[in-house]
Amino acid sequence: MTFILFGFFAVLAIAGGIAVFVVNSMARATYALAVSFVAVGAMIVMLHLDYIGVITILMMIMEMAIMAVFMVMFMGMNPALMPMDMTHDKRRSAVLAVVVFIALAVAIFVIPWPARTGSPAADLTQSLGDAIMGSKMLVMLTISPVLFATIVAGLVLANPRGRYDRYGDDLDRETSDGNADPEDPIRGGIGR
Amino acid sequence: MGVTAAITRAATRRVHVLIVEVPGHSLLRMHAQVAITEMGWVEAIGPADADALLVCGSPTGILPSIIDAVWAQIPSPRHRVVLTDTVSLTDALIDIPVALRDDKLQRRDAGTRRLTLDDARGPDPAASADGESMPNEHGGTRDADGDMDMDMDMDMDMSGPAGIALAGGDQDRDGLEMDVTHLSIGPILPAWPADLIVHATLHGDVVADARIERIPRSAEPEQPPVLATLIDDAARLLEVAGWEPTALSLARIRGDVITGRDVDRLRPQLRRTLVRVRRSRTLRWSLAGIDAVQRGALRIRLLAWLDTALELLESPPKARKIPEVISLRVISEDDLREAIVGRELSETRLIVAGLGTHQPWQSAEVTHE
Amino acid sequence: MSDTSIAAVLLLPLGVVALAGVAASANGALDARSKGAPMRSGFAAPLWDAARLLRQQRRTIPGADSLLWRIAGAGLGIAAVLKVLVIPFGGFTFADLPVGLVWFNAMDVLLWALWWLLGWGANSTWSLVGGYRFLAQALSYEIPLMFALTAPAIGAGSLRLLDVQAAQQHLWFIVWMPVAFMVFAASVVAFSSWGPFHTALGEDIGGGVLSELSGIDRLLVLGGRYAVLVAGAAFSVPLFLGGGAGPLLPASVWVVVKTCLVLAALLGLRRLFPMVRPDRLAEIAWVIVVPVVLVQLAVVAVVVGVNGGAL
Repeated sequence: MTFILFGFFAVLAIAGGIAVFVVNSMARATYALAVSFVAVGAMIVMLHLDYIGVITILMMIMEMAIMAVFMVMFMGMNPALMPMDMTHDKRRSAVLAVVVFIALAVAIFVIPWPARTGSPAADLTQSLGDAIMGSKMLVMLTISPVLFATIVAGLVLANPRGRYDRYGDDLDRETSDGNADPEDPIRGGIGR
Repeated sequence: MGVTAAITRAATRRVHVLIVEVPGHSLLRMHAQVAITEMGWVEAIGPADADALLVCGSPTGILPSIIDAVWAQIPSPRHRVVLTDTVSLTDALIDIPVALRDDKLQRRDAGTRRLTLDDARGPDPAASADGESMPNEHGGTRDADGDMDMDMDMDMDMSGPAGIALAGGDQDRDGLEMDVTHLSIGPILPAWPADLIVHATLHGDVVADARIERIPRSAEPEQPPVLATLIDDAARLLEVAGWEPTALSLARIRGDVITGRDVDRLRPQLRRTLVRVRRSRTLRWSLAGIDAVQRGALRIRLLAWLDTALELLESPPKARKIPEVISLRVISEDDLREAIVGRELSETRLIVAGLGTHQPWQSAEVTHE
Repeated sequence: MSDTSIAAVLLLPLGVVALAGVAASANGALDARSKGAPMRSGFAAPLWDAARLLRQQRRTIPGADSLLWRIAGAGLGIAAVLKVLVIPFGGFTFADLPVGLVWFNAMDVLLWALWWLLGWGANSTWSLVGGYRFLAQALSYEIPLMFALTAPAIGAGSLRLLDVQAAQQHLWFIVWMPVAFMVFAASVVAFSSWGPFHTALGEDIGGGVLSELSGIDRLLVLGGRYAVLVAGAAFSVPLFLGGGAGPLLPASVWVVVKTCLVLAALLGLRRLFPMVRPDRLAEIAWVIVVPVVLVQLAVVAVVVGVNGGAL
């Protein structure tokens, strides 16, 4: 039973991945990718890694929803809705893909995997986390907001022109009547 | 077929009526709204939601073709009524469920529809193949002459899904390249003035450019009382701001004003509603920073309408002069255009709702510009 | 296992639909009272509207992505039922996931996809604006919601809903996590596109996502909306309101009763606020609400640390 279920999710994941390149519309491609990722998340849940599986499903759906918006925005309408061939170097990549697949499949069957020693931990998520990050947990927790801030800062720096231009180059321009904050032409929620 | 009959009966208990107001017939429209509420029915928010199309007044000029375009978008079962006076109102409304339940009639009507864009029978489709997104309230290509910014025709040879060309691109207010869509807002749109059409060029939901078109008002035999129009304007603004329960209360007060019912209860009801609107901090925050055309803050305008309405209710009836606060500076179509360019759709709707029925317009020498 | 799964397949969707109908009726009755019509006519409104929509023709629009459009409409109800799967009725859950809390979060993120697809699939400007408005609003409430969901998890020391419910034996979480509860309730209203957060269906964009829907599709979306609202309200019961705890009545009945109380509160509060537009909401959510929720989390963490468990 579990084998059938696992096989179903595996086929779904691969089919979703293929569908990304076959469908015409960006929105469909994005959600085909989402289906593929959700299938992978379901497979992870079947491995009893509940937290990671459900989080994968959550993050992937959220990411695909946002990605659809960006895909349509950056690729514009033309490739978004019309048949577009996104594959390059077809023959070489097909050969490479088949070779890698065969190599990995052979490896899976030939490698002598170690037998299980002991029993699975009571809290698989915790033991997985310990194994991956171990004593560096606090460092990882601190780095993630720093990473996030870096991404945001990078975007702000890369933006050639934005609504904060009204502050000038050194962010200290005042309006002519001495007001410290030049008016935002589009009023945000707080009205600064 | 007891079940089908039961469903049919149930389906016509609560009809959704799309009300079309011919400019100048606002009293007729208000009476229609009262009658609809009394029957337990609901006003539709668009053709997809509608069972019946109720045209208040005899349409002239460009209106008949617009109404036909909207009629084509209403799904079956459907019924269409043209009202010319309040006397025939009740009969017209009673006819609607009867017609909706008549299966033979509805099937015949459904047979006249177009199945594809190239279908020759039935009324014209609401959009032609020049790159617009499909149905909006008004039937996009009614933009009369090609004065509109139709650059999409020239550089888009590629046909997109269903043969409708894809959108072109242009720089928006922040310098990003965004797709351009054309949307004609009005005149058949709930909570929208019946004599105004805004042909907008949109970048997403930001108005990049607009052309204002006004439909001339026909002479109406009877104008609604000033009190009713003030409350109507306030209800419209609150509905656009999304505060439906309060807008419904105001609609009820307006109905009572024009039918002359429950006059004693009107004053406390209006006062209660006014207090609720004035005290709402969320409304103040939501409307902050949005200015009515050529005139201070939008919220101040809304409160002025309600205050004036309350004064008119409380003062003796011989005070017929429209108070200063609602008589306004004349605005031209360019003023409105300047006010909405660069603003997004929701703010545009609020600004237009802030105009009010008593807004005097500068008469244009040329009707199409 | 098979008995419970049969019960889940039958009972749960029926229960959700029934409660959704009740909520819609109550809303209709309140609206009828505002309009001046008798409340009786408002009560039956969902029934008449459902019959009307069953009889109405569906619309197809040239160039529309019908597949995605119809799937999204049907998906709302499915998302609601999936959410309710993990709710404990006393000691019994249909699906006892060790990470039930995160499952709920995953299902409400599914709504992001569904509402956007509804907007995109229709190939209409008003629809598209509605779909994008939902995403803009979702970006504002999601982080506060995620933090608010973490609060009961910290209080109970577990992500399993049965544990969260058990940790409230002495004191319900709503008492010492009020901010988290309010943010959760507001987020439930927001992801149902209802009440003050119905911008995706706003009247100022011609009905938004609903503007091109008719017939059975419209019924699925309108009904699905209420189903999601009910599912969210039901979820607040094990999270903040002690689950099935209560005298006299059996636990499952108490869960339904408390859900109805939460729904009644939401229905009453809805009329107090106008629609909140996403461009205004964004700054408030990120600059004010997120810090407040973080402070709430800090308080909870300190309490749990000092007390060695929930209060």
